Amino acid sequence: MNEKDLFDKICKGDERALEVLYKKYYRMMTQMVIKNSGSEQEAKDIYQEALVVFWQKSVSGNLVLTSKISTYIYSICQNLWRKELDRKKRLSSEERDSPEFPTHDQEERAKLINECINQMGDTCRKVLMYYYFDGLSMQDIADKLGFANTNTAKTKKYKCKQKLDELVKTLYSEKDFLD
Amino acid sequence: MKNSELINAYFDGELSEIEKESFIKNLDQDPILKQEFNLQSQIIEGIKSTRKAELIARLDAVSIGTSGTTQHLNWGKMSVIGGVVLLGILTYYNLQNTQTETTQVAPKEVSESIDSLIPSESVLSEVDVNKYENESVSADDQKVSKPAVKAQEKVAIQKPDINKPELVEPLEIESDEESELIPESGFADESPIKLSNIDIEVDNSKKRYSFHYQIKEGKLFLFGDFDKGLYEILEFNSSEGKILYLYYKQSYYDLKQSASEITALKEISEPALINKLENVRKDIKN
Repeated sequence: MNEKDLFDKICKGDERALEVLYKKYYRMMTQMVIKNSGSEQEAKDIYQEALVVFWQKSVSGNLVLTSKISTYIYSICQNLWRKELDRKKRLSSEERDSPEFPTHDQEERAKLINECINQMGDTCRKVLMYYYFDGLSMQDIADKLGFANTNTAKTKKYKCKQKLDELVKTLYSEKDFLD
Repeated sequence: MKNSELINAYFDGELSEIEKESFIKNLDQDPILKQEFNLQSQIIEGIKSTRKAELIARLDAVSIGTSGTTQHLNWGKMSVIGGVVLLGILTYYNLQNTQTETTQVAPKEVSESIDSLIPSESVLSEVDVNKYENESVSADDQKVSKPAVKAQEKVAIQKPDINKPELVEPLEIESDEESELIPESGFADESPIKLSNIDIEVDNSKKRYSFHYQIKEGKLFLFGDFDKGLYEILEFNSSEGKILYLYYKQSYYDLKQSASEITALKEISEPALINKLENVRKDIKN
């Protein structure tokens, strides 16, 4: 599969193409982090993070690639790693003693929302994830999930979001997360 | 427009610039609107996080071939290493001058002597020995071309006890045994010395745990200031599961699979085991 085909598939939301890309450039990207004082795990995390960014840009149609894919992803990795190194530098030894962890409440809320999302049907989950994360248009969502038209996709998204909101509100009330 | 509709329109990018500005102003003035807005923010962030986690999990599941701070061997090297280890074992066995009891299968005796070097869970040598021993047993049926196996065959000839039917039973060696020993790519799960591809995370943020570890959900957490690139994880496969050792700053540490709580790293002090692990590491590096 050449680069153009790979990129086209990714733009169409083909996750297997993303896996191919991941494997293809794993060494190159992780070596950059490792050679810049990163561990293998950090390198892997940075590369995965970069690929997710690349994915979002590509599937949402917001990316016009003017260089090789590897060049583009490499620069994302560099930026992410630079940010991470800056973050580490900013941490003084006092800060390191008391790192900023999310509060217990925040964690609980995030966990609850995650539970609610996982409780939803597959189609609802996909509609919401494609819309809010992948940034797909209603037409793309309709095509991907086999809806009759964009209006059907829009209605489905509205209903799924309503359902999720209710689920979350119910659980939040139970946990006294709502004032 | 109801609050919820307004908030959804905001997140869906359906508000004009003027409407957006007005909405943001209202947020500070209307606590109910702000509460609902915060809730919606959290929900949408939750959707995004779930999707991101899904994509990352998908990438995590992709087999790369080389991962972790451990090294990856090809099977050509593996077979040589296996042969060297086997010769070492048999030489040791000979030097120890153990009894050749007709009631006992020779490989077990060999592995028992090895077990004194390596903790009992490890069947590294046992599997190796058994495989190679069995090759010699069924040499008539199979062509063995590996030098290590040939060397072992010579040794086996000296030990007629090796030719015990019990040898064959525990091992399900197929007719195409060579390909089983030397898979085309990567590591087969049945490798005795399988270099660990366990996920490793180093956490130096907990002052309380400066030299500890934890194995949780198949992932190894190292707590402390571990210098990058200076530690290795050796993984041995046995019939009772994986056995992991950490090599760090010229010392070896036991990593118990049962350490689901944060556990202090304990240095291995048994000289014979250290020697064995050193040899394995050197072979790997070569």
